[in-house]
Amino acid sequence: MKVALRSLFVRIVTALFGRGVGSCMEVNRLVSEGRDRPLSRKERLSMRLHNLLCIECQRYERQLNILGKIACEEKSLPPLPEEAKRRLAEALRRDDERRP
Amino acid sequence: MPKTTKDSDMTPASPDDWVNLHADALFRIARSRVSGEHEARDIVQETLIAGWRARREQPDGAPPGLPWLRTVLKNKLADHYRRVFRERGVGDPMANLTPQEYDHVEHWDDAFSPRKWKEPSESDSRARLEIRETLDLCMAKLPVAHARAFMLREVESLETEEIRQLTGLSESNLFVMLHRARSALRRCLEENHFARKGSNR
Repeated sequence: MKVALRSLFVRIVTALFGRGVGSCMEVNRLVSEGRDRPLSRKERLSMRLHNLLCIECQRYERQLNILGKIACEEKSLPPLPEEAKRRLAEALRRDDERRP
Repeated sequence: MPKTTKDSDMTPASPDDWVNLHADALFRIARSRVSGEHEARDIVQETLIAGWRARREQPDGAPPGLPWLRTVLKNKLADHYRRVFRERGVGDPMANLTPQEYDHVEHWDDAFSPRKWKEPSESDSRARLEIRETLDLCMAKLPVAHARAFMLREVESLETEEIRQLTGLSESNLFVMLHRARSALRRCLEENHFARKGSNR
C-alpha cells in the first residue's frame, strides 16, 4: 500500500518536473559522484529538486558525509610496545653499520 | 632538555630517542590506513629508515622531524596500495555489494531506505571511536579493491585520476566502484551501529 502510494507520488513529481527530477537511484549515484567530480549545473539542480522532496535521499547524502568524516578519524590505538621500538632503533643502527 | 616535538630545538643523539619521539605518531597513522598490524609496522620501519638515512645529507646531521616523516609515510602508504592493487587485482568493480535497494520505479525499497542517524558530536570521541571501529569491520567485508579505492579517495584525498592510474579502471567504472563501496559501507554502518542505537524512521 505504502509502496503503491509512493510510486504514484514519484510518478506525479516526475510528470510535473519532467526528466529534470531523477529517481532515487539516479540521484544517489549523483550524490556519490559529487564527492569525486564536479557535477554539472543540470545534475546539481536535479539532485537538489529531488532532495527537496525525498527525505531518504537527504539522509543518504548526509550519511555519506558522516561516513567520509568518520573514515578520516584516526583510531585510538595503544602505542607501539617498547619492544617494537627497541627493534626499530636496532634496525636503524644496523642500517648505519651497513652504510658507514 | 625537555622533550618536544619541534625539530629546531631537538637533536636526538641516539636512534632510540628519535624512534621514541616519532614511532607512535607514525604507527597510529599507518595502523588507521592499512588493515594488518604487521604491514603497518613494516611501513613505519621503512619510513624511519628513510629518515635516518636522510640525516646524512643534512649539514648538521640532524634527523628529519615529523612533517618530513609524514610525507614519506604517505608515499609509502601509496606504494603499499599500489602493491595491493597489483597483487590482488581490482576484482570486479561492478560487483553488487548490497541487495537491490530500490523498487521498480527506482525509489528506495522500504526495507532498505536510509533510516535516521544520530551523529555523535565531535567532542564525543568515545561514541565516534565506536563508529570508527564498526566501520573497520564493515571495510573488512568489502572486496579489498573497493575498500582501498574508498580509502584512497575519502581519506587520502587522491584525485580520481591518480586512483585510475593505480587501478587501471575507466573513469565510469571507478565511479561505480566508489558508489557501491559507499553504499555498502553506509548500509553496514546503519545495520551494525545506528540501527542498534535505537534510531527510528
